[in-house]
Amino acid sequence: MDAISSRFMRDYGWLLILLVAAALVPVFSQSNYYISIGINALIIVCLAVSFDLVVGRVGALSFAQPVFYGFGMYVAALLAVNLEMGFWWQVIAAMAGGMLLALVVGIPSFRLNLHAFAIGTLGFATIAHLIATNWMEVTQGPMCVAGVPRATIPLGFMEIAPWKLPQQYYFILTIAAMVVVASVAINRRKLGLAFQAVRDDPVLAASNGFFPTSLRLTAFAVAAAFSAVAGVFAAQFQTVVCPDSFSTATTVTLLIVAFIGGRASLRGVLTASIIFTVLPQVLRIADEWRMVIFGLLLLVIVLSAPDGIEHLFQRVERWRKGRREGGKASGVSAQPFAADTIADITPLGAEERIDGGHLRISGLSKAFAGVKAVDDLSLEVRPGELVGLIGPNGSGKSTTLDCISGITKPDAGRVELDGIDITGMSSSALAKRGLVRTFQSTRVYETLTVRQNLAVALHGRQSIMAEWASYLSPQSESRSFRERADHLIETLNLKHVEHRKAGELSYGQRKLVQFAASVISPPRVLLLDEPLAGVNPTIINLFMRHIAANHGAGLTIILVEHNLGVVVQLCERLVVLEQGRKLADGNPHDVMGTPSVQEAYLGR
Amino acid sequence: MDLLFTQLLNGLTAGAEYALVAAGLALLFGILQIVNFAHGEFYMLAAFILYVLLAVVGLPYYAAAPLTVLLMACAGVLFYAIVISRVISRPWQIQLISTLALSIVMINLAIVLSGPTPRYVESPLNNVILDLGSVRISAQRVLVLLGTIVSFAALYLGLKYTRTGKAMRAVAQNREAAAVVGIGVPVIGLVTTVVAASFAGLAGALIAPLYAVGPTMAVLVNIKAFAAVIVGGFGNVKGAIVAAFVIGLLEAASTTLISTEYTDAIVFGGMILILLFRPNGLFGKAVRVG
Amino acid sequence: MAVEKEPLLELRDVHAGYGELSILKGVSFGVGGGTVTSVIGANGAGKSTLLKTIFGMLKVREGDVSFEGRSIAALGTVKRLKAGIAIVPQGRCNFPQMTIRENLEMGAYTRSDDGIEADLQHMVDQFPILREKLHLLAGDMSGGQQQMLEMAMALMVRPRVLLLDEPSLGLSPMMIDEVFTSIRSLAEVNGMAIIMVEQNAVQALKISDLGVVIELGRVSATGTGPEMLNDPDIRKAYLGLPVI
Repeated sequence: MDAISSRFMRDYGWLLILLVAAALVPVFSQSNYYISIGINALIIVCLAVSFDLVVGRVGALSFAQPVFYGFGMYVAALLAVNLEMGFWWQVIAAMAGGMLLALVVGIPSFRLNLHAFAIGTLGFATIAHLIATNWMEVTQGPMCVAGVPRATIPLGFMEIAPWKLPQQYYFILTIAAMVVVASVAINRRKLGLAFQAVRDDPVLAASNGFFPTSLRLTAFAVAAAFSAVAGVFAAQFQTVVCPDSFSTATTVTLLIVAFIGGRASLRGVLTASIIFTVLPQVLRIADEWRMVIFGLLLLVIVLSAPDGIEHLFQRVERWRKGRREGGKASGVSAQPFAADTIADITPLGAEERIDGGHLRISGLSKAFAGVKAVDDLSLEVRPGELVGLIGPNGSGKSTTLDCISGITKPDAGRVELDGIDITGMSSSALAKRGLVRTFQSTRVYETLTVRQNLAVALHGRQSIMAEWASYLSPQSESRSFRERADHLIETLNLKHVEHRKAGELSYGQRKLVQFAASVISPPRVLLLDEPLAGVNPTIINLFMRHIAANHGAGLTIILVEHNLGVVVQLCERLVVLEQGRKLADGNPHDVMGTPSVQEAYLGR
Repeated sequence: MDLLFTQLLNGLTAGAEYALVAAGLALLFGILQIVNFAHGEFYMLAAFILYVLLAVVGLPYYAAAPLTVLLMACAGVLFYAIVISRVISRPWQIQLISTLALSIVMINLAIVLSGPTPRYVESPLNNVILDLGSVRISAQRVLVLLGTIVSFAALYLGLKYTRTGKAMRAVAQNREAAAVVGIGVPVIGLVTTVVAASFAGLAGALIAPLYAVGPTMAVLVNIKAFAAVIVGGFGNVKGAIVAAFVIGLLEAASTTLISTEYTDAIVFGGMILILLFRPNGLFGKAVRVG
Repeated sequence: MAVEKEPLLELRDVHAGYGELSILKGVSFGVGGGTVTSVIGANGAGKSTLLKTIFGMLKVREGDVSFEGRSIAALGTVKRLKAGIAIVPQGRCNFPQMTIRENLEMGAYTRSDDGIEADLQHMVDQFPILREKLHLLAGDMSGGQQQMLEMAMALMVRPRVLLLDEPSLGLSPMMIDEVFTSIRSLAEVNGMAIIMVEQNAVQALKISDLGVVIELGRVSATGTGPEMLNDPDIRKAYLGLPVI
């Protein structure tokens, strides 16, 4: 019990302290001036937290956040003035409308890439401002929607009429606290991990079975709803709603707050929100030089503490921790270890059977800039087969894997998995069907720990229903996951780094993590793209044993690899590619003996 | 016919304005991977320098214009020393905030020093009207177009054939490889910043006489130049210049044919349409994965 | 084949690292002209860091690196290149949108003499594959050909010491043989000292005069190529070979 409460205090204590401090502001300051600064700061907190959800958590720069805020204000004002609708209706309309608007803007712009998304939201902001200014019949343009009636807020058992400034302050404080709690909750659920995965490496996330666009859209829509609600509340207090609520000044403040605060750091963002709404007010004494000094201060802060407020927090924490633990040496180096100390490697814990998939490729072609990388390739891999795909550099091996795994769309040809045409399916959909690949360039989620890398990979590979149904469950590890993960981590010699971020690991260790993630949930077809390139012989041994174990359990595997010794030893069948065409196909000894293979590949 | 020609000319002038700013942005982004939010303000600074040289110092335009470019090159050195050199190896967020801060400082300094009222820069060429049969065109506009074309040609040749130009391209293509062959990346950073600032200087020197000069004159220009850089294929200088002219002409066309109020909306709509069909921009190359 | 000479490049108790992370914790060894040295060790032991430190991309925090008897620890990469130390790092290290010719010319960026064109011709004689593609873009070549190009670019500096990080990575067996043969002949014919980091340790040691094992940032063993290949501990831990 004690442990739980102390952990709660460590995780949420600073939020409580901040909340209490914020609640005391009107007590100590009777001046309306300070309270209205406080209200501004709290509105910025709401917007900054939602902005951070999009920019910090899923890594998409959005210029649209103030628009959703403004949208919420206009919805509230217009519904109240024209239709005399009550407060909760305004909230519902603004949230639903905001999310709908987010989907309308987000779907076409996310479909492309993040740069297009940034421009799309910038264009959206510009267009929204023009509409608010020019659509006189509805928004009354620059004359503003005036006389918004102050709503009373029915809570069922009582009604609140926050007509005085301190009451308004507490009200907006409640909203800000709710937004913050919602953001913390998202971060601590599986959804938070998935967001982080998509931000770190969308291509890898897709190959783990996630649909990156859906996750980004989710973040964008939720953030839109947060901002719109803040707008509804703001409309009650301001009573006049003008096009300037979209102004670029708000976007600038949000950018500053989000980045000075530190990417995806709530405490940083909160601190920065307060500093950068209070600072301009304090600088009022400098009169016309106010914004010049503000800019200069900002410049000095960025140049002297470029890692943001979050970094300062972390330094303080490390310092405190260092004092507690008395300066333990840090830095992990790989230990040389002999693979044969590991007794037996089973694919995933128990003596499990894997139902390997049946892959049939026919007439596959793909050209880049006129050069044929893969040229009319046909290949059948039967369930449980381990096929080595070899060939000189540039012979089309990786492109073949890209076409099979949905990373690239082939120009012609057909790929079938168990008789079902999977040509042109996204890598996300294929991963869910159990067709999994690793990358030659070695992809891992760099800001996630080794264990989290495995957890995310497992999560994405579930069916869509299961994936989305469990997004709001906590990140704690299930027993079955723990067993699988422990086994893989143990047998791949990753125990000493299991809680390190994957970005801090060496090249060979990343290859191991990538491999572990690919088999954490038993795949049906596994495509391995040069898993052994650049790793030392002990790790090669380790990989060979794991590949053999998975093969033995019935997994269908295509292994692209240059290390011929390994390929010949492991594979029952070799396929040789040259210039995108199949040069030979058969058992290793026959294939290696073929004169054309010797000439093309071995130069003998 | 006359109206069409006038609008075409307006479009090209606006395009030249965006292109001169966008070229600098694309150089900074393409070679140094720096997102410079203050680049528009460099254009504003150049316009004010020209104004001071003409109206306060009393130089003739022919002397003031080149001097403006020269002073902006010096401003580029300062910009590199104070900001760029410190953020060049930092994440883009830091670059964005620091240049944003610089832009806030510059705009507000201009407001404090000159007040919000726009000023007008007199160039003798404004009053020289060339009569080309049925159409008339001011000599200043001719100078703008000529100056833009000549400066871009010089940039192209410089990047293609000079030793420093090649080194700039090398840094753009692979910074690590550039360091490995012994290219001093900081020196290239300085040169790139100076060239980018000089282009902003050229924009001020050539175009300020056509439009009103004021503290916020460059805010929209900068946003459109950014759009041009993205649509042109991130950091592709040629693409950014072409896209900037497309934006200028699109604006002129929509002002004439559709509506003045929604011009910006149409321009951004057009940009999004282009990106829908060419996700990597007009000249960007598709990236292969794996 | 190992001829005793006074070291061309010598490391004495070198410490280096990134930020708060210390990777090399006292590395000492020397190499002579005309020799090939293989650095082997587990992933993350600090092999690449060692090469970067010799080239000057990382600062020497403690200890000293000397070249031809003079300390170069304080010199930057450009001065080291001019002195004759070149590197081919791991990963793609060319200019993909420049032609092969331009890439080779960029390789000689630090030189201002008029022997560049002659060296370029010499280089395409040595790597015939490059001659055929002199006017094609580097990015359009296959991985193995790019690897060749990068080696040629480094040689355009006329180095005395050549540092190679994983020269065989991602190459087909035929190419690997070719690369190792040319590494050996480069050392013997041009008299340069070649230091390479290689996971393909057995093949690398076969052509090496000296083997250096790095473990946890320190040198744990040194020896000639054959000595290393026959050492039971090294065979087991680093070469993946059965103990004889």
